[in-house]
Amino acid sequence: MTDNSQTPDSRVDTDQSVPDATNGTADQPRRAAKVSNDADATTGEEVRPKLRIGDLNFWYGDTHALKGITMDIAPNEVTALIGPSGCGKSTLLRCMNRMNELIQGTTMDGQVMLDGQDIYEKEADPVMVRRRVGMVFQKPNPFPKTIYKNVAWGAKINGYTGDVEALVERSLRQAALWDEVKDRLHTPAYDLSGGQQQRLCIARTLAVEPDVVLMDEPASALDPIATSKVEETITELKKDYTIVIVTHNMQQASRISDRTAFLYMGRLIEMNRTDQLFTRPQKDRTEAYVTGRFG
Amino acid sequence: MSNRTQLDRELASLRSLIIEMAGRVDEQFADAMNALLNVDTDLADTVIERDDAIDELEMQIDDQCERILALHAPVAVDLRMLIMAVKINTDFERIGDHCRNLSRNTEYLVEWPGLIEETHIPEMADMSRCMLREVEVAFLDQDRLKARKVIARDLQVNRMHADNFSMLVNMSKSDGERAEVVAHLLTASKGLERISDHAKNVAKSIVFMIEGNDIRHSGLRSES
Repeated sequence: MTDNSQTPDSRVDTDQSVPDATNGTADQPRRAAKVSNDADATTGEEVRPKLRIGDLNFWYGDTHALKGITMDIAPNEVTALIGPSGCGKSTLLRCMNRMNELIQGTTMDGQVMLDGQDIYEKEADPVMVRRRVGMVFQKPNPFPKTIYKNVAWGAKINGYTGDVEALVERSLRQAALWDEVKDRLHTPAYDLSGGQQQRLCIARTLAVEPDVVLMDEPASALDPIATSKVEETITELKKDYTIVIVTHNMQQASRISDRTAFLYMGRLIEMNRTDQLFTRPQKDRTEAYVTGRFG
Repeated sequence: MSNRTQLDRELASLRSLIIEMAGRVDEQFADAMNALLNVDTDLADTVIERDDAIDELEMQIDDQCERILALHAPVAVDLRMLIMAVKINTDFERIGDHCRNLSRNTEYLVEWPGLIEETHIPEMADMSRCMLREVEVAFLDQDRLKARKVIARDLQVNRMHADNFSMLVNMSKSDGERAEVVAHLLTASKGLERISDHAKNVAKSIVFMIEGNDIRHSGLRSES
């Protein structure tokens, strides 16, 4: 049994007063800056966030892994979560589709709103949440079945009544894999290269028609060419999906993401447009991390 | 060795090259002005000969910048350091060219001893030298306030050049024999005005590196 439904008021961390309201930050700004995570930088209009995370705390047993995280994830953008190992970025990612509930002895409080609805409210169905917020993992993990069955499987168990063949083709096209596999759809997925397997996993995630795709180091096990294909795929996908990616590779974050959040020891230190974060970080700690001076 | 250690070494080497460049340009400037003010054509020739070494150093600095960009893909303050280095390298090299050009004016003053003293050129030289020294220190100490002080000095040099211009035009009108030497004094005055502009550019690049604020062309953007 997980203890995840518990919302212990008594466990509110005393440090929570430090982060600010919009994008909880733990350092004082080095320079005055006009930083907004809410407004579209090109039009200046308010964009309703796809995901809104409010004062999120998370514990593994007694270990306080996430401390008062507040952030908005804009729709149809790629948001990268970066930070040193153990900073909480994968934990935060898993909070976005209730995957952490599957881990024993964890506790959470705070909010994760998907299109304005709290995914942790009592009535919310975790299976439905995970259908709307899909996940791609670090290592490609196709099922030991054919390429076709890998993609069709999720839709079938979700009771998809439409044209499955069309769905498979569309998903494979979106994952930029169709041209490479269209003539061998009924061959084993394990025969594909690592990069192709990862794009197959992306296609499998897309086939259940999610709104948000979470990616936990999706290219870290791939060679540079396969990485480049996966990155191109991610860039294409943001037209239709909201993407949140955890990456250790800062150049990858700077190449593919629109916004980047830097986490350190469970806190959100800084979140900003990616070009800003990598050229003019507002916090000393962010600068030290992105320039490789620590972490 | 970690990538960071290697990058720090490469950046330290780049800094040394820039400091060397600043030092050489400062020396060129001092000699060019001494040649001009004392009408010392031998010293002027030395300045002209030494310009090639500055050009060579410019290429060396560009190579080092290219190398760091290609091998280390720097970001944030490291990236700004590289952008600054490329820009101030060009500014310093241009100052070197102006020093060479000032030296070329020297021989035309031989027959007019003391005439240069009637212009603002000696004061402009003092002010420009002061600016060059200050940007050097601002770069060494990473001192943004000192860099910003240099920017203000440029206005004074511009004013002196404007005064020189009207005075020399009048001199040319009233004494046709002086037309040629006046043309050379005007060129020298313009050269000094350009040198102070380049020193100002260097100062602005230093501010950019330290603060992350692009303070060129004020008015187009508000500083954040």
